[in-house]
Amino acid sequence: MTGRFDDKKRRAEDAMERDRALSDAPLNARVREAYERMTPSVQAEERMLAALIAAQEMQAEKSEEDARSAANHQQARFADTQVNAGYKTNGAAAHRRIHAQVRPARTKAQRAAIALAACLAAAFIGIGVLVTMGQPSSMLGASAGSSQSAASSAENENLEAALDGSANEEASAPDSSDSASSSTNAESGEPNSTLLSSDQDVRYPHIALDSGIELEIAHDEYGVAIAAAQSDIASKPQTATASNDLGETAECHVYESTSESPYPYVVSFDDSSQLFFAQPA
Amino acid sequence: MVYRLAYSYLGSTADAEDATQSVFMKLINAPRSFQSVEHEKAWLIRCTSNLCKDMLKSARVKRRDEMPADMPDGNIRDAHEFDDVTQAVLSLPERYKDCVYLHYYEGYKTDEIARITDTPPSTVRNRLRDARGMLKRTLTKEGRDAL
Repeated sequence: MTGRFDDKKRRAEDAMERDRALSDAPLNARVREAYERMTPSVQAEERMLAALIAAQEMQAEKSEEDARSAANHQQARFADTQVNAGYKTNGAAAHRRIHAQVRPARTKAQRAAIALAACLAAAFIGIGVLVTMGQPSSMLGASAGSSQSAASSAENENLEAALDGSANEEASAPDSSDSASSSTNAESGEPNSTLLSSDQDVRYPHIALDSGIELEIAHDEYGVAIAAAQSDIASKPQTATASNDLGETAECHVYESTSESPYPYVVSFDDSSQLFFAQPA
Repeated sequence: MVYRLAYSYLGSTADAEDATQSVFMKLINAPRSFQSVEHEKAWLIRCTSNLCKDMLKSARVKRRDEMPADMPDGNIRDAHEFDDVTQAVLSLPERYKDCVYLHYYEGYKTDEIARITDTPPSTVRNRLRDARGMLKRTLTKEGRDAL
């Protein structure tokens, strides 16, 4: 009984659904058509599209500006940090900040060029120093005399004198044959005046022997000390004291020279093996 | 789709254009990644719906503050340009508009509409039934009035 009632009810509901679907069908179509009529016109679509494109461009520009201002802000902060870290401060902070905002960021090529220029400058300075150190004293003197300032020329003269001394010391290495040939002229027997003078013969020209005899270094007509050779020595050395006008003293050895020698004494200083002729003052 | 839904809410071409632009501007300003086209469509529908509801709310508040009390309801300003069905659709209450549009125009089923609008399916069914009844009543009444 109940089952039959349910069947009747179900059949009735199905029929109602069918009727409703059939009756709704034209409504569905009409509602869909109504929405179709709400479609925007071509002009409205173009308007919206143009507005969206403009807004997108503005957005892109704004983001670019934001990025640029952020970069400038970072540069300004970096400049401020540098200024605060101990650089010049008299209005320099503001100056740097303004320039940091105006100045565009360096490109990679610019940075590479700056680094290369710095390397080249360092290389040139290094080469210049090496060349200067290796220059002979005569060139130094010439350059000092020609173009450099008084201060630098004075420095160069000092350097020249020092280099001369060392050169002479090197040149006057104890070679007896060379010294002999250089001390006297083989043909004339006259002593050779060479540039082989040491500091001592200039700085300590007065020599006092223990016996009380005073000697002086023999000089040629140009004022250059006359060098002696080992072959000119005829006696054992005796220690003497060499002195200058300032009262400074140095120890030296005095020998009696051979009868063939042009001067009666030969002097050697402790720090040099160079021999010089000496004569009574 | 966005424009039609906005128009069904706002009933004005100018407001619908504004709403459409605002929705797409949201996408431009804050780009999102969508899992699928359906996901993107659902987002657009919900965004449009929420925006239109906000616009209507603010318009109501403005009107209440600025307009005299005896002014007619200006919600559906351009509706007179259309036929009775369109006017009937536009005059539906806000809460029915999503469901009606998605069901009658986009062809979504109840469960899909429920997913898109984040509403229980039974609520969607009830809303569709109520909206259908209202439309029928409105159209029948208008037909009778016309006769």
